[in-house]
Amino acid sequence: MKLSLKPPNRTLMTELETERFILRPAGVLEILRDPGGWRTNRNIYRNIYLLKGPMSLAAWLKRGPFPDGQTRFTFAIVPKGTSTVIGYHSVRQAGWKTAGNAVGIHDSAWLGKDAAFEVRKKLMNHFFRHDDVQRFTSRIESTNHPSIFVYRKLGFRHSGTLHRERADPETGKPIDYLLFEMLKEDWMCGPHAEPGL
Amino acid sequence: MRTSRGARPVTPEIMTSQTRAAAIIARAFNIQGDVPLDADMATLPAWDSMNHVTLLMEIEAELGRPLRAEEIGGIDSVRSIARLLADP
Repeated sequence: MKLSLKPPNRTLMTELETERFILRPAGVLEILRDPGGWRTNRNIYRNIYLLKGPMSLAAWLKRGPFPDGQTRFTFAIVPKGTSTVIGYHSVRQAGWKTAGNAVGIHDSAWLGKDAAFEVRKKLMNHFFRHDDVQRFTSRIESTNHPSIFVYRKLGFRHSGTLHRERADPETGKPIDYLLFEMLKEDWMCGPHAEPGL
Repeated sequence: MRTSRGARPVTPEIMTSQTRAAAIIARAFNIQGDVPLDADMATLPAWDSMNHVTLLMEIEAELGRPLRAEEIGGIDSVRSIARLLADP
């Protein structure tokens, strides 16, 4: 976790709305409290963080989706008409005019219901519109099929493969990683760009 | 043979594979009836993240081998599956 003394970017850290969800900017303290139980949720620590067991506080502080309001932004995913957070989606700027996505859905009732697709589509439009992001990239384990599905459905191009990049923490088997990218001009020509982008 | 952009031209073998690919999708998604040969993630409502996992397992069973990472990253339509089946 890195804290920034600069004032947060209020344009980017604004509440957003999709068809089914409110995306509420989350703060450092909220992530620190870990209300979604990510540290001990096997689906999260196993599939997102590729860890064998629950995360220690130190590991959480190092790897959790802490926002800084400058280059890292985290949004709580709240179904409309409720106050329940079902997951968090982060956007992190890294590299030249480049950003990356990460999402975790801790409410199992929402798995397989395209929540990540709907939320990511909104956030990409938001960051393409209000920030100088020219490209979104991602690096996904080839075993993370639901996440690969989301990227492909959004139109991301498979731009490369990192073979035997890491090992499965339980089986020790090597895992390949897929690289995906979406350039702003391609997004604007695609079906998911919002009008006026 | 590949085109200048890297995509293979549609051959008779691929046409046959498209029919097989459509059948695999119908089986994986439990669709009664025909799946259009030009169907993809965007046009098939049943193609969600959970069914995608089932589909990958069905393709592996059809091929008789695990999918490679590059192949997993390219599956998004009947045509993309047909190319895999035509060149296993």
